[in-house]
Amino acid sequence: MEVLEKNMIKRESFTGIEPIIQIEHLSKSFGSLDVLKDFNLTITSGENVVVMGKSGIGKTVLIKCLIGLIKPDSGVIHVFGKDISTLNHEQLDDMRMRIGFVFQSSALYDSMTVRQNLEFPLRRQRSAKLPGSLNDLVIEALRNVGLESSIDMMPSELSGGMRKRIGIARSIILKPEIVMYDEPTTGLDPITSTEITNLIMDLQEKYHTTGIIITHDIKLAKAVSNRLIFLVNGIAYKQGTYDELQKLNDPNIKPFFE
Amino acid sequence: MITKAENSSLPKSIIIFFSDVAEVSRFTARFFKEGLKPPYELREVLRQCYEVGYKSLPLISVTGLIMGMVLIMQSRPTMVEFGAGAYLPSMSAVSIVREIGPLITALVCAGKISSGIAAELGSMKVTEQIDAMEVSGTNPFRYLVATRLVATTIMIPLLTIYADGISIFGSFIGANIKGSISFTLFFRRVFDTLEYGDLMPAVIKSFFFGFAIGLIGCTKGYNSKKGTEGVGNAANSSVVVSMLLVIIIEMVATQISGLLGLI
Repeated sequence: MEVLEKNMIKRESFTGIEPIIQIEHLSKSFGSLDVLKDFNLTITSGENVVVMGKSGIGKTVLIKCLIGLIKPDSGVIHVFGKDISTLNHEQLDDMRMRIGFVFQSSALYDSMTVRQNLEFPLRRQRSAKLPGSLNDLVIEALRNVGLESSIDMMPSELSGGMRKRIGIARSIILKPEIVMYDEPTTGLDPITSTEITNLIMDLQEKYHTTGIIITHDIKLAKAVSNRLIFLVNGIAYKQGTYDELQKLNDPNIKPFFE
Repeated sequence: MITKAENSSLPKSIIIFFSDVAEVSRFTARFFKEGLKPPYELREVLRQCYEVGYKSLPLISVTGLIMGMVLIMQSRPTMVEFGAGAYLPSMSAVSIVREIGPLITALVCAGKISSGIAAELGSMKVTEQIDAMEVSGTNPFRYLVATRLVATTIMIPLLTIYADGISIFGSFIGANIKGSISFTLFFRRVFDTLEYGDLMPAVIKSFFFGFAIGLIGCTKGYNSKKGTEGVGNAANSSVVVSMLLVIIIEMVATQISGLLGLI
């Protein structure tokens, strides 16, 4: 737990100022269901923002909109200062190279080994000059998550926690500036959840990334967040530090802290 | 909640049919717009050729062999009765090369390959692997769909030619089960009868079969929804639709061959 405590002190002293993501009046509906309604948010460089809310409230939709996987109905999203709705395929791919995305299901490619899974984002970026050989980068990424020995295993041979770690390794292999985590500790036992929490903090300290973390895990939120945002009825209902929000007696928020 | 389909005056099945046609058309247009542009995924195309072609060889071999044997054994009594037993090798060769070989190969591949592609892509879709590919800067349509479409379009004609050969050999075995004909005589009659014009339309037709089989498998899999149930439905409907499409292409090809005087 030493790493966890050390990083918590670091998070509290965060003073980011440069906006890296700006969301203005974002709306998204699925049929008659309004998931996001006039949602606004600014995230500054180096900040770790945790988004919390009930299941099915639209947290995953929010980060999928940020990376262009889901097209919003209205609103503007600026990432690295660029309106993503104006980007063509190549520009969007260039932007995505600078963002890591950890899926809730890990989304490892079933037909590939761990090595091939990690090599995949690197092979796609032939034109970019990679810092080191493919093998070195794969080994480094696996060392970061403590799973060097699993390099030739298939995803089906990995446990849930190992899959999450490999998913994280794959997301940071291109040294992204922003990492988005979609419920990184969901479905894991408390010990593995703590390991994943420590891993997220270690990697963010090492690579100085900006983090957006979707979670229901209040321990993870407490450990990694500079700012907590509660998504209720499609809007950023309340935001603030962990300590600020913990003190609120709001029925939409209080149950998460109990 | 009332959906648009439920609220419409048209039966739901008709709306689904036309939306499927629109989706397949959109996929076809996207393939020609995006799928043929560089950078080419040659390694993945080769891997898919191996999956589609090489891994189908055992099934195609067995099907082709039995098809040839059955064809000649069923035809033999009637032809012998009319004193046309000597034409058995020629009859079986022309039937197999022109129609039975391409059609049976396409139908078998529609069952095996189209469902396999739909299940694989459907599974990748519901487990977010396609999204993961997209966020890593890869165009999943080009990497997953275009490569499979190219592979099926190339490999189905090759499998058809292979199936033709195996079927004719099956006919030779069939001819020797109740009668007796030498290997040399049988194949001399086969090659004396077959012309370039018998093979080429069949091969050209097979390219369309291959494209249709890949297209339906990819469309159904890539657009599958509703979790594992959706994957099952995608695999199932891909078999039905691709088989139907193969039959329609066969009918159109026969009409065109007739108009061109090739029949």
